[in-house]
Amino acid sequence: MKKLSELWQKRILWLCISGVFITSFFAFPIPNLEAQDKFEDVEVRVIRPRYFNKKFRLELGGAFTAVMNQNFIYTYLGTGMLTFHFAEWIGLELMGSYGFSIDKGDKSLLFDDEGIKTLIERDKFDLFGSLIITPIYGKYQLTSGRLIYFDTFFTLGAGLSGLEFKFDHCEDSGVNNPPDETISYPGFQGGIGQRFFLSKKTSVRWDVRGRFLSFNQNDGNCEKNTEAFLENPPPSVSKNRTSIFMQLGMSYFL
Amino acid sequence: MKKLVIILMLFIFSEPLLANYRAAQSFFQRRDYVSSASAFFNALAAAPSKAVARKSEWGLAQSLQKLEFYYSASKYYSDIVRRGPKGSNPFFKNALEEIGKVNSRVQIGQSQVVKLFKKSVNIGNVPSSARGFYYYYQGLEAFKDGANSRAYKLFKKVPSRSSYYLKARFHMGVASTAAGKNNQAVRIFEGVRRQAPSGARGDYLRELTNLNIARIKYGAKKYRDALNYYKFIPRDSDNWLQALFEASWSFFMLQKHNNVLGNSHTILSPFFINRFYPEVYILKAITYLKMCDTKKVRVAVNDFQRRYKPIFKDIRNMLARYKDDYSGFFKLISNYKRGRLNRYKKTKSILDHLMRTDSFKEGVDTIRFSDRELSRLSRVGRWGASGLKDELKNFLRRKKSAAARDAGRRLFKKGTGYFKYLKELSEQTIRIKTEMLLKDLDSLRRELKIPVSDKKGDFIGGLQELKVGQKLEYWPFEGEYWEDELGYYVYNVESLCKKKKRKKRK
Repeated sequence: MKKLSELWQKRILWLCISGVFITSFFAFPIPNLEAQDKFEDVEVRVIRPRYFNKKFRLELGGAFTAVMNQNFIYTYLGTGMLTFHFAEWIGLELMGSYGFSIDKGDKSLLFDDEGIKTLIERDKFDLFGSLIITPIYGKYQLTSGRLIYFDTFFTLGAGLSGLEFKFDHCEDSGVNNPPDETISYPGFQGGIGQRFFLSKKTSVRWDVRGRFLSFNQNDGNCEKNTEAFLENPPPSVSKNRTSIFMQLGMSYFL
Repeated sequence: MKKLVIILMLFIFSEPLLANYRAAQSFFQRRDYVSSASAFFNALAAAPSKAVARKSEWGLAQSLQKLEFYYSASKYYSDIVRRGPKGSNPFFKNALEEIGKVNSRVQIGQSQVVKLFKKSVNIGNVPSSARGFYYYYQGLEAFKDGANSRAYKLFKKVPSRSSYYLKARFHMGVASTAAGKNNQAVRIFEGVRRQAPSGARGDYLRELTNLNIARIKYGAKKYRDALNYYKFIPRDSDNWLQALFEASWSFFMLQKHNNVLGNSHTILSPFFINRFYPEVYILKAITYLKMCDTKKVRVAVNDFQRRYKPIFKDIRNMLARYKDDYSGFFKLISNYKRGRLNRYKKTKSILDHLMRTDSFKEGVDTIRFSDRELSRLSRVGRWGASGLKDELKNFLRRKKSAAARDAGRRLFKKGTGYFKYLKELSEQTIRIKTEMLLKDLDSLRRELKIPVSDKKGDFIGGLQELKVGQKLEYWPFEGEYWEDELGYYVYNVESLCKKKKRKKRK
């Protein structure tokens, strides 16, 4: 399979984002959550101004992100988020991450003990658009009596992920190592998270998301720049990759 | 010649006595106030002349004030002021000025202040900086005697730069209300509200003005306006529950029955199990009566009797026991506050209510300040020999017992009033029950004449009127009370009157 050109990757990405967003309105009949939340069959209710309103508000956030499911490296990314909430329960989020990876001790042990060098693709950046659905709004009371409001949200989105190939496994292959390269691939993601509202403008948030993409293993081939490879490229070997991201950050509502 | 010899002899003999005063002055100038206080005290005791005695007394008061023994200083300032303005009392004006300052720092108590002005004072003799203090307390005395108009005039004379100014303005509002001049009162209260500074004292004053304006509005049948002032009482205030309760009556008059019941739900919640709001049961009963729900009327009435009937005997015994022992009554309330109540345990709700009154708080403050000075006194070793320590200890102990007695007397009077009120409410519940037995609730309902015109608009919890487009949050009450939900409950029940009418017609 031929690698998609960068232009096509972008086109597909935006098509996915728009598709997810547009179809979501048809896929889920907009539930009248507010009406359901009035507890009209209950004899005694608390009725008061809502502590935190998200409707038509823009949320700006930043987070520290770590990839949780890697054996040989640690990957950390800085993440920025921009979310617009169309209603209390639905919004659209744009998220961008950029980061770096550090080798774990296991990687060098594997080489020292077994002489094995592994091909490792590293998460370099992410650029995703997601639909964010917030069906749960609640509160906690601390022992001090202080009340913390929170909501729980789910995300579903699509976007581009950049994987970095360092070719450090190629040292003994007898050819010149290709230079480090970051290649972007379209992907999908889904996640769950919570915001804890510290005030009427700020929240602390965490979320876990799983990102799924498929990349061509030949992109990490040590010989990819050799004449033989370019003249007679091997059939592409598609490999699925799932990354679990854990994010912890803060956001500010305009 | 004979005269000259006498003068010379007097001079020679008084010289050692004057040495005490000179030493005291020297200590004072060196800012060694502990030594100067002791030396001035000795000089006062052995003063060779009136003039030296007056100077020593003043020096002693000043030394004590510098050492932050405010109550002790106030003793000597009071002695000076009580002698009145005359040539032989040169420190009258200064002492009046200083005692005013001391009183704004630590309340010395109205009983002590009142004694200062037993003799009438020409206002020309009151220094301008002490006029606020002077007029304010004169006004309070007049108000206590029921002379509202005189009180109003005295409060009005408090200069605007005085630290007593806002308090005096507040009392002007109270005096105007008592005189039935409601518009004037609201105007004055609004002014106090605006001018009250930020900080605890200003907040408290603002809170009291809000309560007073709300009450005036309620009295003028402007129930919606009343609610707009009640809602300003902060949740962490001692007055909050009172405001919620009074606001319930406004809701009742506006026929917002679900709000009345919602507020009652808060007041009767376990959070306020010891608070004294027996009238809430009656309010609940008559609200259900208006809603034609006889079952619930009966429940409310029975709840009242179950809760309050068993405590009647204890209250009666308690009041009999402390009829002539006001200090003991004050101590009983203090014990309740400290969680050490070991008798009359069923009277908790009344004791709790008394504990929250200004009379009790003033008494506690005076005792606390006295205790603080007593404890500091015991650490000043040098005053023992001169007898100053004993004199101050005696003064502070007397002050403590007077504070307990005075506060106890006022609290006992209030307690007796609460018991009378409780008995009246009990009679009302009996009447409601009797009418129910006679199935004559319609006559009772007719008695609750409520205007029907002002029914528009809805209220959410927190005494707030629902605004168009306002985003709300709803939480169900499922038997579990959350502290943050108190004050926000609104019932969701419908009146049964229409249903019953329809049934009757059929």
